[in-house]
Amino acid sequence: MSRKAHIVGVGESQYTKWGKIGDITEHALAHQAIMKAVADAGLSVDDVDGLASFAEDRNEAIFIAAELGLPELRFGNMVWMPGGGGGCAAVSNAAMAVETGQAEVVVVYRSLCQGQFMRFGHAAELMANNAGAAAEPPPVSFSQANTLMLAAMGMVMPFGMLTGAAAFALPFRRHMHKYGTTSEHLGKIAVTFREHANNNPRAVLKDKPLTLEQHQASRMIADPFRLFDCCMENDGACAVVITTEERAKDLAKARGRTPVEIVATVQGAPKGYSFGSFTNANIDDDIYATGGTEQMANRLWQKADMKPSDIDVAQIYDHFTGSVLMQLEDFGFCKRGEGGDFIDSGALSVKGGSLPTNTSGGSLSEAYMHGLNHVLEGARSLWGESCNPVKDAKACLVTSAAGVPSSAILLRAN
Amino acid sequence: MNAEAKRWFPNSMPAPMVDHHTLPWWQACAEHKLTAQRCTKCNHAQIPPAPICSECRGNAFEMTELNGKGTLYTYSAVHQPVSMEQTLPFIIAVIELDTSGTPCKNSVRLMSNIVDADESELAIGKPVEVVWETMSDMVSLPRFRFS
Ligand SMILES: [Zn+2]
Repeated sequence: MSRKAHIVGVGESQYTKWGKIGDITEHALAHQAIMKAVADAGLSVDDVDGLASFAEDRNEAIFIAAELGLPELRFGNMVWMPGGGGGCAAVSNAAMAVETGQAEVVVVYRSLCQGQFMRFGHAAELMANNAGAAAEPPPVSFSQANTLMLAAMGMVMPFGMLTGAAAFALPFRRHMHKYGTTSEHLGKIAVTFREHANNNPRAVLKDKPLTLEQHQASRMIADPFRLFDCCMENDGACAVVITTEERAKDLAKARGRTPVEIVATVQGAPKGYSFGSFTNANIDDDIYATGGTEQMANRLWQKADMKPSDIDVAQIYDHFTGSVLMQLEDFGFCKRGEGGDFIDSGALSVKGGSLPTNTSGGSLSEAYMHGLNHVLEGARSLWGESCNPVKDAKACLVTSAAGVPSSAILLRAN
Repeated sequence: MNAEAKRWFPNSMPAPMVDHHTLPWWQACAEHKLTAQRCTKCNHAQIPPAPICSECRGNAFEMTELNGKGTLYTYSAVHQPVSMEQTLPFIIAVIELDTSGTPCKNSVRLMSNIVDADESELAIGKPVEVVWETMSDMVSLPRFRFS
């Protein structure tokens, strides 16, 4: 029988506001999510022989495997670069591992207890505190960049480029300039995802309704992104279990589920992209005002022999509302520059929209787990287990962060 | 006080992190020279400097001084502080640098700041010119104002 990769189990810890989980370490929280996902699949932790992660995970697979007492680690792997571009790529790597016979059951995991660590965007506070501690601050000098990422960041940080909000505001500002896209378009994205989260007991913002007026009145973070255009920062962990079709069919049957196949996966970046608009002022003009994922999207459709109109439900990475809009264009759900009209049509709402999107509430309203929670919701939406079910959904697109090297997967209920 | 000595950002802003390839660019900045790394084989201009030309894969370069003029390519008025002591909002900008009058075959963009401007003056495509902010004897930063 086929070794085609399938998703067979998903699980998460409680999601909370940033810094609220202090009584358990980040890797212990990862164990929780992994064990829940494995149990959800109807498997035992002893069945797991592979671990995959992304985003400069502090919780290395080799230690997670040792702590969990996995009988043998046959595949341990992480996608390059910080941030959420690699979530679907980690799923892709897990799928490659099972399809090539390197492992039988691979778990993709992400755990974040950011209050226990200094997050990148907060580095300035740390530096300021350190500077304040010295009697006489030393004169401004150079420091050595020990990685290519730091060398790239070292060119832009002196100008104040430290946050995703600023990094992704730059391409979206050009989108507004070229196509007349507005802050209200962005507001409608935020409001729709919040409505979805209001039905999701896992969502950090479940009990916080949001109106377009509140969005428009919210404080500016990095123009044109207001507070409600930006994802949250959260504590929590989640995990996804991937195995072969052969095992998936039995497991799905036992759970009364439809097997969910990982039909196709893609990852990568356009020519010369490096770390996208975060560090790179020289992204090609043709693709500057995009999510940078169009090339990759075309490859995905081709590999899957599918097209945008085949998709019943989508989980689009939403670190910022503007990135959702540009990705919808990249993936061909509407023409370039027409993302605003597409949003105006109500397309993203589970209540009658043509492309119900982020049915859990996404990073804007469920939780910011660097987008791995989007993969969980993708599987749930095809199992009929979403809090915002889309009737008879058979095909789901899941994407990772745009504006940096990215990845995406297509899921299908068979 | 001459215009060159003007300050817009505090010293507590993140300092440059450099490697072998980017250091010469920063050293030119310390002399208030805005440069691009130019491949001597194909005249491709690139910032930041790198060990290889991404166009022809040549590895011989010169740091070419530019005229300090450019246009505003995109921007964001940022309302979150990067340093505790800075004035908000501050403007992060991508500047399309003019390479005319040099052998460079392309224009090249730089991440920087717009200074001495009100938010309402910001518009893509407006001409800008470099102004230097001396942070220390070692570090000067090229910022831009509308020309
Ligand atoms: Zn060259």
